[in-house]
Amino acid sequence: MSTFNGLVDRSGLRMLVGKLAFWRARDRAELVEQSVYFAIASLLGVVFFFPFYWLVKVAVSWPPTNLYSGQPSLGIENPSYYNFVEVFFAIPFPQFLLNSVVIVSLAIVGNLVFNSLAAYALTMDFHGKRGVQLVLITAMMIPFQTTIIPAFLVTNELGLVNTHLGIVLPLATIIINILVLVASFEAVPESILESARLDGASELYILFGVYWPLSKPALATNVILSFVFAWNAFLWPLIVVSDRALEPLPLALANFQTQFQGNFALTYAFSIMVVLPIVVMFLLLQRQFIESVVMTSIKQ
Amino acid sequence: MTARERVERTLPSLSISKRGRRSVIAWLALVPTLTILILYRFVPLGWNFVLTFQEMNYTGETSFVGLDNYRRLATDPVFVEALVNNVVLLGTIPVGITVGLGLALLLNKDFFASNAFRSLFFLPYIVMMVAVAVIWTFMLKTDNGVVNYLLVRTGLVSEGISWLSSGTWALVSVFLVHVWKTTGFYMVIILAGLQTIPTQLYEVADIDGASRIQGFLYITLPLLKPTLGVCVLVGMIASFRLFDLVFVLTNGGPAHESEILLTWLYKQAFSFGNFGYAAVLTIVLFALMLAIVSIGWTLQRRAVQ
Repeated sequence: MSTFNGLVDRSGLRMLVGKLAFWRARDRAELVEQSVYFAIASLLGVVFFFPFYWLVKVAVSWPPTNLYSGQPSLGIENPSYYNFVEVFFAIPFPQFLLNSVVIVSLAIVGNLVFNSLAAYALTMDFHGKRGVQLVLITAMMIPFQTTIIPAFLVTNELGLVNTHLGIVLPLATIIINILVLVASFEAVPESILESARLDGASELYILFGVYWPLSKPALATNVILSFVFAWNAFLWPLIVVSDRALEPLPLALANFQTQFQGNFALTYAFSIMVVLPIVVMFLLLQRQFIESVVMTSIKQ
Repeated sequence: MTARERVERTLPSLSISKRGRRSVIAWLALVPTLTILILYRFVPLGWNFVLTFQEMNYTGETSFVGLDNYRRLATDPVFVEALVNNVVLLGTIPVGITVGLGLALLLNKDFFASNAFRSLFFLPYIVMMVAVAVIWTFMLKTDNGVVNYLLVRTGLVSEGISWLSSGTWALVSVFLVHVWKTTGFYMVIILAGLQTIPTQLYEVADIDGASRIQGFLYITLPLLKPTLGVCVLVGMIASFRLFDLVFVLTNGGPAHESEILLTWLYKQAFSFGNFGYAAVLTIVLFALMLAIVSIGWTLQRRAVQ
């Protein structure tokens, strides 16, 4: 303690104050500039963020009647989670959630396994590799939106209309995910593969025991993209599913809105429950998330 | 037993070369992916073409109708309306990019909470389109929507706008919400582009007495050209893929005034059962997207050279 006091003696303190004053003088202009930037960003931020604020404000309003009578108030008064509870009574929410979870899980597993296998093949030199690469590039140029009608007929032929599998199948391999994995696998040094082969490693071991542990960012991209695509999918489930018990959450939300048209608060509460997983995922994995979602959509 | 041995055992009579063995393994590994792609990309592409010459009734029976479905395009006013609306919505791209560029320039500076602001502006992009449409549907209600409340209260308009129930305003609503949703996306791409510009360039310009505006016009903009090109290309493809927003926010209404190609072909097929005509509309959409992508790629390649 005494040595600590000795360190921060008067002269030291004076030096510190001097330094601070110097810093202030030099950077005062910069400080003003930064404040201006901050003010502009805040102003725009308020405009951009307002819908989210409103979403939460309305969702926690109870009773909902005070939203319609007279002037709406902009502040949050007497927040209540009642609307969130009410959603469970209005619709079979767990059922819809389960549908979404099943679809997302199948999509993630499908992408991890199928894409890894395909990427593994593409790291090898084999007969017809050029052709496969061409097929992948061509398939990327065919937007799924422009194949929905025959894709529905294909699903019908396969007997997969009104099934979870029917929703997942077109999402079970995403080409950009394969390309991300190929790039990652090819970066693995040849020497590591050679030594694994000398140890008698099987092809599957090389894929899942050597390539996988060295390709975590690429695998994360696979998981994130298939999660986002499957969780947000709307048009395709709308076409393939007519049985309400099989609807994933986005479809349930759209129907909910028409069903409870007058009840803003209830619909907003449901919206929050649908949106939350992706938002939480984004906040937890910001950098990886932005890289996956934005950078891959550029390459597409 | 290694996979190689396994293959050797299953194919004993063929004394296959190393490359041949590898080919068998590679093709086996490609089976699931190729099956899915063939089933959901290539078969539909061909089938869609066949469908354009057919009529299909509800039992799934088809009959050949020649070019009838193509002729129908000429007499369908909604098709023209949808096409025009698709083109109008391309206008979200310059607006979104301009705002996104402004935000990127601002947030490229280092100031208090600038990172938090980046996430904030990106947030609309990651929220599911259906939820976005639901949120805005209630905000844009004519009588008790908060947007009209704020506009009237601040005196910007004298009486509430019927955002979703009048034709022109319905398209404007789709336009504005789409801009709100995509601006953050452009911002992130442009931010990444800005970070590739060496700061020395600005220092040199500063020494030469160039103003900030000159720096922006003669350094930032030219070097951002490829990035902005990517934004335009991605934006165009995304705008033709738009479906959820229009479907939930306006459902193409009122009276088809905010219809777009994708919602119209969806309705033709799955509401009216006109699969043949919907297939023709699909071909129009596909041709447009293909044209845009190839023009975009050519321009991009020329820009690089």
